[in-house]
Order: sequence, then C-alpha cells, then structure tokens
Amino acid sequence: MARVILENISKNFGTVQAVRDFNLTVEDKEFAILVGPSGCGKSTALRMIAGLEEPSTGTIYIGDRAVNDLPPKDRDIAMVFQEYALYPHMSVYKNMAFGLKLRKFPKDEIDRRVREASEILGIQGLLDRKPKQLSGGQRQRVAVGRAIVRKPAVFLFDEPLSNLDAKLRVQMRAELSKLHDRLQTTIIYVTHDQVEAMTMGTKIVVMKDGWIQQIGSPLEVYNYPVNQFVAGFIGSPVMNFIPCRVISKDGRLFIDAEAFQLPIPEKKAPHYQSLVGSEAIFGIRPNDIYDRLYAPEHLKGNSVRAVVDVIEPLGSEIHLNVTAGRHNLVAVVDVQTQVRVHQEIELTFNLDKMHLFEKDPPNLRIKTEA
Amino acid sequence: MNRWRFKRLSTRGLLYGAAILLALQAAFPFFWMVSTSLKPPVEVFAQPPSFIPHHPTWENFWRLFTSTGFLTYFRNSVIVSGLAVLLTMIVSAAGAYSLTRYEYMGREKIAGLILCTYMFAPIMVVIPFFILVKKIGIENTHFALVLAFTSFCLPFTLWLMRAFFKTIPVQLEEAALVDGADRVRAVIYVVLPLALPGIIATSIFTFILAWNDYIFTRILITSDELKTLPVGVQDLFHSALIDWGLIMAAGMMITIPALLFFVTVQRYLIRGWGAGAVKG
Repeated sequence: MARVILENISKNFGTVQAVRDFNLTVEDKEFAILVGPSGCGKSTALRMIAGLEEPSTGTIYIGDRAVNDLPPKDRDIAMVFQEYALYPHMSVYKNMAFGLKLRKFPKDEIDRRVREASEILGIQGLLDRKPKQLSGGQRQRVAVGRAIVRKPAVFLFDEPLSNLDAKLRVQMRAELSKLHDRLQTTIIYVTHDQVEAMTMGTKIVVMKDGWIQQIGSPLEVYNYPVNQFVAGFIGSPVMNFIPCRVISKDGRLFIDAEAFQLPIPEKKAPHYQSLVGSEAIFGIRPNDIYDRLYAPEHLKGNSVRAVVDVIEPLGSEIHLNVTAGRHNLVAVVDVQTQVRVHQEIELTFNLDKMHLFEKDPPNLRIKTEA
Repeated sequence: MNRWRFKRLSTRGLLYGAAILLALQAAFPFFWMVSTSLKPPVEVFAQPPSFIPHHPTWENFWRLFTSTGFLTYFRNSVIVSGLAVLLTMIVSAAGAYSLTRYEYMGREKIAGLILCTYMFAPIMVVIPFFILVKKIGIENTHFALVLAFTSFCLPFTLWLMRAFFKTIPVQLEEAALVDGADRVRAVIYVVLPLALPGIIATSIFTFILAWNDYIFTRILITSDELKTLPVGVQDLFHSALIDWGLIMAAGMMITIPALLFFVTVQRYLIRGWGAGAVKG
C-alpha cells in the first residue's frame, strides 16, 4: 500500500522535453489516470515511475522511499503493457509465476497465488496455453494476472485496453474498476481515451505537450475544466467553441457571436464583467443544447436558429451537426426530434452550463464557481 | 479436362525426375566414399571398378584408428570446434545485444563495418593473422585456432544474431525488469530463449566452418599432435602409394559427426536463415 509522489519531475530526450515540471501526488488506493493526446508525455511519466526511464530532474517517491536510484525490480510495482508483453515461450502459468519465481517464493505459495489470480480473472482454463493460443482479451487478462500475483504496492497500466475491440474494451473497463475495488491498491493508469479516464479514475491528470493541464476528479475536470484544451479533450461529443464578444446591453451581459446573441445568466454575469467589450471563446457542451420543442420551459428564451448538416441517430439520442451563422455546432437532441438535413431547427442553449475562455493561449476558463 | 490432367502430371513427373537426378549427382560422391572405404586395398584399384564391394571389410577403419593419428585429430577437431562455437556465441550474443538495445554514436556504422570485414577471404587474412599470433606468442596452439575461427565467423554470426534480437520486442525485457529481473537475468530468461533458433543457427554455421577448416590449421598449427581432422587426413596422402581405402574411411568418419549435427538441428538453421528476411 503506497502513496506515489512525483516532485518537479522533468524528462528530456535530447532537445525534446517529454515531461516538464511534473508535480503529482497519488494517494494510497487511488485510481489515478494520466490522460492526454499521443506525445503528451503520459507514458514517459509512467515509465519513470516504473524505473524504465530516468527522470532528468526531480524526485519520485513510492511509499516513503525516494526511488530514483532503485531499479524497477526493487520498486514494488507491477506494470501492464500496451502490447501485453507476455513471454511467448512460457505458458500462461509460467508467465504469471515468473515474477514470484525470480523473487524465490516457495513453490506452493506461487501455485496458490497463480490459481487465486486466475480465478479472479476467469482464466483458470488457460493456464497451460501459450500466449499465441490466446485471444486479445485473454492475453490482456493474463497480463493483468501477471501483475496481481505479485501483490505490489502500485500497479502501472500503460494503455492496456487500446488493442482490444470496442465491446471488449467496455467490458474490461468495468472489470478493472472491480479489480481496483477488490485489491484496494494504488493504480496509475495511462490512456489517450477520455472515456476510460472518466469512467475508471478517481483522479484524472490531463496532460498536453509534457505539461500537466489539470488534476481533479472526473466530474471536476468535466464541469470545471481549467482551460479550453481540457474542456475540449474531456467529454464526448467534444464541447462546442465559438469565438464571440461579450457585450453589455441595458445592464445585462450578452454573448455576441455575430449570427446570434445570447443573454448571460445573472448568476454568472458578475464573473464576466471584466470581459465586457473584449473577445472571448464561448464554450457549451453538445448535451447542453436542446431541440427547442423538447427543452425545459425556463430555457426557451435562449434559442438560436441553425441549419442541419448531418444527422446521426444513435437510438437513445440524436447527434446533429448544424451551422448557425458561420459557426459549426454539435448538439445532442431528444430522439423524438423530427428534422431533416438542410432543414432549419431552433436550438435552445442551457446557458447555466456555459463557459467563457480567454481568447489568447493558454485559453484559461473564466471561473464562475466559488 | 483430361488434357489438363495429363499436362499437370507430366510437369510434375519432369520436376521429380530432375530433382532425383540432382540428388543422385550430389549423393554419388558420398556413395563412392562409403563403397571405397569398405573395400580391401586390392579391390580399390580393380578395373572395371566395383560399385558395391565384393568383399566388404572394416579393415580400413581398423587401420585408421590404430596406425594413424586419426583419434588425436578427431579429439582436436571436437575441442577446437566446440570452443570456437562457445566463444563465438558468447561474443556475438553480447555484441548483437549491444547493437540492438543500447543507443550510442555510430551504432549503425559499427554494424556496417563489421559486415565489411566478412568480405575478406580467409586466405587474405591468414598470413597477417599468423604474424599477429606469433607476436603474441601463441602460435601452434589450439587457442590461436579458436581465436582465428571466432574472428572469422564473428561478422556473420553477429549480423545473424542482431537480426534475431531485433525481432524480440524490448517490452518483453522491460516486463521482465519490472517482474523482478535485473538486466542479466532478463536476457537469460527472456531474450536468449527467444533467440534460441538464432543461437542454434549461428552455432551450426560456426561449427561447420571450424570443423571443415583447412587453411587456418595448416598455417597456424605445426605439431602433429595438435592437428585437426582436415589437415591430419590430408597428411595421409604423404605416403608413396595413396591409400584410398584409408582416406575414404577417414572421410566417412569426418562427415558422419558433421552430418549428424546438421540433421538434428537443421530445422533451426532454416528458421535462422529466414529470420533476417521476415520480421516475426
């Protein structure tokens, strides 16, 4: 059981700075997820925790020990790799027993642990097989099994689900969450898939270009993204961003996006006062845009006319790609919505959920919460 | 339909015929060797020659083992070839590992240069090598021979092993490191077992080269008791009357171990040759 702390970590590969000024504390038993687009440094950060890369600066603590100078084997960690990295010449049983054998565990203890882990993962029937005789999902389970037999202080996962098909991925996601619940061990998990981050993590670390953008719980990151990048990265479909100007009319604040104007809710207005007269980026999630017919009554004032470009019926909801003025928007609307391509539709915005971002990088969000 | 079938059968027949012809052509010298080694001296020069000995005898073999230095040569060959294989394996595995796993300046250039050295024929290298060996003071020793074979095989074996190591994902080693191995154990438990076909292929190559070598042994070894088989047997020709029965018996005894070794491990050799071409 261990807390993991990364203090002022950076990593340079030649002139490339893969990870910069990285400070993170993962509490004991936490399920922390490093998420970001490819090349953001998340895997490098994980590999430094594992001891497979050496940080250029900074200190890594696992438990109470600084582990910078310890080889991977002495860090009390287990890692699951993206390509599974099962030893092809060993049976499933031997794959799982390998780490214990190297640590000179007695034979009956090894056997007990391998059987216990294989039961948890439902791979009891596969113990005699070689990795190449297994399907992708089974290999994944064996890789996880190889990690859990060791009962390490920290589990590291490096994009473990990215090689699985969509259906299996959803299933394994739930299983990994259950596993975390059962093992009560610290997990640090790397993924580029924001859905994995949202569904499994108790703490999300959003990264870009080697920098940490935001650290928070899934809902914090979703509801209060620190900047436009995080807002756009977390959530699906992606948040709509519209360049606009904040104006003041008759004592009320409005968003002026040329094609339409929307009133800023009274609650938020004081926070945006300083932006009056200047440009900003208006952000709203597709789920906060309704077909006016099915919108809650009190919101109906905030409506905008748009032309439908693409209709994606998903069964439970409909995704609309629309054009309002010269802005493209995505809206998630009620399934009962009757609309055809090229038709006009009236969309209602739930402006209580709106965000404003600074126009210039790093496009910080204007805070409206306490 | 019938014409198609006829055409297919006749093509196949021709192919098999050609294959059999080639096989016979390759096998005939061996057959002749076996036949001659079993003939008594009078029958060896008989005209017309007999393909199957009329009075087969083990006499040639008996004389080979008792009145020549054959057994000494044989032992020398086994020792020298074995040590050459061992040394080549160790050096080329270590070298190939370094060339595939560590980043350093000029890594690819070094690999290319090593291959270049393979382009020198043994006959070009042997005299400078002899001078070198003499300067160090190890001429006329098995050690010098082992060094010679190793340095001659190394460029090729290094490249073969490098091709094998390249097909083994680094992630497997990293997994072993995290699992609790240090680098040496990761190599022993994970890399080497996966490179086994390559190791066997390179060892066959080295063994056959060392077993069959004539030039290096001729130049580097002067004492009779240190000679290996090819040179030792060549020296059987020195008598006024060439004893073909004896020489053919020696030929048999040289061929059989190499053949056995080759047959038992040949499937690995074929995998080894394919390894560089098709990444697994």
